[in-house]
Amino acid sequence: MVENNNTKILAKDVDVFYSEKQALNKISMDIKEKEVTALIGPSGCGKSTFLRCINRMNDLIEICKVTGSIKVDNEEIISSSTDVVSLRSKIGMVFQKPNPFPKSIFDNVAYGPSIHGLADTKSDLENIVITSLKKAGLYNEVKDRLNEPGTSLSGGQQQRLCIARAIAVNPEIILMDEPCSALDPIATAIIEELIDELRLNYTIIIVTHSMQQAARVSQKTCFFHLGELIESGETNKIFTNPDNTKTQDYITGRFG
Amino acid sequence: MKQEGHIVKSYDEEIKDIKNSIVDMGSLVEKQLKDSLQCLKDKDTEFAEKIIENDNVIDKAYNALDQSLIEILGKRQPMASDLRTIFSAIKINKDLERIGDHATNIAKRVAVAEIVLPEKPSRDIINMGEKVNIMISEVIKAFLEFSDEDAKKVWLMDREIDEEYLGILRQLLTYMMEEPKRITACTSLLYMVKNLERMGDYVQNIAEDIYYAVSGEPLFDGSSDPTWEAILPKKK
Repeated sequence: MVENNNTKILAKDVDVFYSEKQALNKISMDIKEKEVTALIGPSGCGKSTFLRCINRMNDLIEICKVTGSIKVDNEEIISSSTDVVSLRSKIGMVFQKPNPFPKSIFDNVAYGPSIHGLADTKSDLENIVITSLKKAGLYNEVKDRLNEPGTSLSGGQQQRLCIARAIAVNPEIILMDEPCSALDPIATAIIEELIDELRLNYTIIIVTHSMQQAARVSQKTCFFHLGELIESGETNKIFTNPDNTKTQDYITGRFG
Repeated sequence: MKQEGHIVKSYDEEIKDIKNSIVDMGSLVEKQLKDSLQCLKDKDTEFAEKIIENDNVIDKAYNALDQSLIEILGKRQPMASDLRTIFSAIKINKDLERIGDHATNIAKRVAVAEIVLPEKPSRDIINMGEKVNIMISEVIKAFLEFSDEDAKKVWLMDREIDEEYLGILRQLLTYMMEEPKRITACTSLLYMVKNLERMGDYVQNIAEDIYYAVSGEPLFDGSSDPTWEAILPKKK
């Protein structure tokens, strides 16, 4: 594997408060482009909170206050002057539970490119939809029923539809918040294979509760505990020989 | 290094069982070597036959432990220090089984020895074998204590075994040159001394595995050939 040194996301001293309660404490992290970074840690450790800082989703929570610095492509995003719409067009997100819009398969994927004005003509839009479905590994399974509702698909297919929807707006970063926790092992394997392929073109950050999944799909792993980043580094190292005792205890199943 | 138990208690039990099985395997192998040396001392061919048969017991124990190890891998998908422990146990089990084979080989030589084996080198081989047996027992202790430092100490013990090997080899060559009639008998002893020398090397392998399981680092970094100097205590 070629070592890449291009920083895509650089976080420095990120604190997050929900009202009085501190959810993240001085998180600093360097995320390289076109790599998969896994965020692991027990429930409530702050990994999803950190993920939502990157696309400013925490803005939607009124009591949430984020301080510190996060730079995406060297541009500060924790600032009142940040263009959040343009930031979010750079960042796709996939959630734990597949959440297709109550629309057709086609429209689910076409929605983003339409509102961002990415397609000039109807055939442009069709192209984007088909390419995105192909990239998400779903096209062959749905090509004959693009007008059926997205919700008619199986859970694993819905999740891939959500990935197609996320990549349709041509993002550079994909955030995944436990994307496989509602899927069976086969659907999970298909998503993991997809993550392997997507890594060639996107920077991916995945929150997962499955230690084995983190070991399988990621190149870097970050372990969070009680709002702190305890250890981060090469995935292979973290899972065979972590430096920190807390990391060791967590991944071997000694506390949770 | 003292560690908390797993949340799933049966996982702790399984790891404990594996550690106990390694210890049992070690005891079987130690006993096999002890018996082989005894039958060499007594030139007891009947006993030698029994020892040869007993190799089956070691093989069975090896297979049973191997099965437990593959089961724990599939079932628990161990991580970090657990993963290193299981990974090392797989290799240690195999090396112990091999040591058992070498011990059995000594008994095999005794069983077919129709000629009188010369006394002096036989005695030296028995002494050397007792030292190898101490190494086996010490390396099992290091595993049980999960101590990288102890493993390193055992690793270093092989130096003496190698020196004795060369000493006995020279002695046997002299015997053979002096009296060609002794060649057959001395060749038997030569095989035995080689068996013991190999056992020492397997114990070193086990020591390396323990060192890795405990520390997460190889005993040698791979930049140079394993040499005594590489891990000898630094001169102050």
